Amino acid sequence: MVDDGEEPLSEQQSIRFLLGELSEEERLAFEERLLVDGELFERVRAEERELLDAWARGELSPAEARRLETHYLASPAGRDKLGFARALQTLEARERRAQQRSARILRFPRRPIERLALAAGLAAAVIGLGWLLRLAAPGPGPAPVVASVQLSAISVRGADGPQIVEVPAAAERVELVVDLEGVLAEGPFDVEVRDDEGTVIRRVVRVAAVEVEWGRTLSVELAAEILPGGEYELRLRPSSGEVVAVRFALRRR
Amino acid sequence: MTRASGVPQPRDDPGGFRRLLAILDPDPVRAERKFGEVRQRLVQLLEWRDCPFPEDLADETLERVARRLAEGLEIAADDPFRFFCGVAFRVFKESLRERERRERAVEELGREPAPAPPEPETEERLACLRRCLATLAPDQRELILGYYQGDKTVKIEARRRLATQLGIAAGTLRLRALRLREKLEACVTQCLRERW
Repeated sequence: MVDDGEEPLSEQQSIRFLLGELSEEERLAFEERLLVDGELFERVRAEERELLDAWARGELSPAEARRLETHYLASPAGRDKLGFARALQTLEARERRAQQRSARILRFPRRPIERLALAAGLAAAVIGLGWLLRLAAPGPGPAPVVASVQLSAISVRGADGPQIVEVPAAAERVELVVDLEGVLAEGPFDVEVRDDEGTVIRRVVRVAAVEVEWGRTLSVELAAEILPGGEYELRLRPSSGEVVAVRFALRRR
Repeated sequence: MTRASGVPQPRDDPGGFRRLLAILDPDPVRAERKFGEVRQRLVQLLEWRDCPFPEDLADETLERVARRLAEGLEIAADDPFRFFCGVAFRVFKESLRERERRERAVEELGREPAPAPPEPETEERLACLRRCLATLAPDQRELILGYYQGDKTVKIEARRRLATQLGIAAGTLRLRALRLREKLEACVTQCLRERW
């Protein structure tokens, strides 16, 4: 960018400025231009954020990363900017992982033709759907058929509606598995399942969170008959910390 | 400095300050806006200089500019705004030198610099970020997350799509994203202060 006939400033010069690599004389000249030129000032501020994001993603060389950290950790405002860049990167990484997990977890089919195929499969052989249903521990009679559904504790994108899950009609028990991504409290949790009128239909105390490959989950199992279909709320109450409320809409097929 | 309409005014020299604004622009509203812009840039320059209280030092710098104008400093340039920035920059450099002298004096006394306050844990900061994102309108949330996500190659394409989708130039998109990010940064900082 050219300003009043002066040499255009390259992105590289801005980065050297932000990393504190300019000589004092170069730096003062650069600062004087920033004070006068509003457009240049905004451009350098935008480049600063790009540099911080590159640092948060580990894209800087070790020497550049060290220089940036030394420079930014020296002031409260710098520490806040570094912390924000790291938090934004962490948020993005977790969302990406959550999306990959959702793609792996079975989602009940939405298209009619697929639902028909599923119903035919269920009618044909329950055991053949072992990746959807699991058998509880053997007891004196036939093992109950359990449907496992996945819920997420926190939605980032601000979705206002409940999470939608489907359970086959043949299921006798329903296991609610909650991904605790974003939940700070360690647990154990007192768990309540409430219907859409707020009535508690099941309470389980001191449910521990379980470490899995990608994070932590919490599970409660209920008789399917107490979840006939409709909207529900799952409340997770830790011994200290915020209560987490997870709304879901359950459909029986 | 006392503040009126967001513009700092030296208590002891209102006349010099009025002269300062008049130099920036004959229109008082535009003059205040330009003053605000210069102040914002001074604050940022001082932050980049690791100054712990950049706003205070920026206000002090501008007070001294106002005082010099009140003392009769003549405007010797065709571009008053540039002239003002030149004076502000000279005072800025003096402020830096004085700060360095004070810091050297503290070091010579053998005092250890104050330790940095403990950093909030990442999860605390992440919780604040989620909360602050939820305060944005959905389209703003989509813009900020869409603009800053991905590595370099992914971002270039995503930003081009975003600009086309919004019907704005790349530079305008960059500015909007920057404003939103600064709003979020301030929100997160405030949220962390409340938690700590």
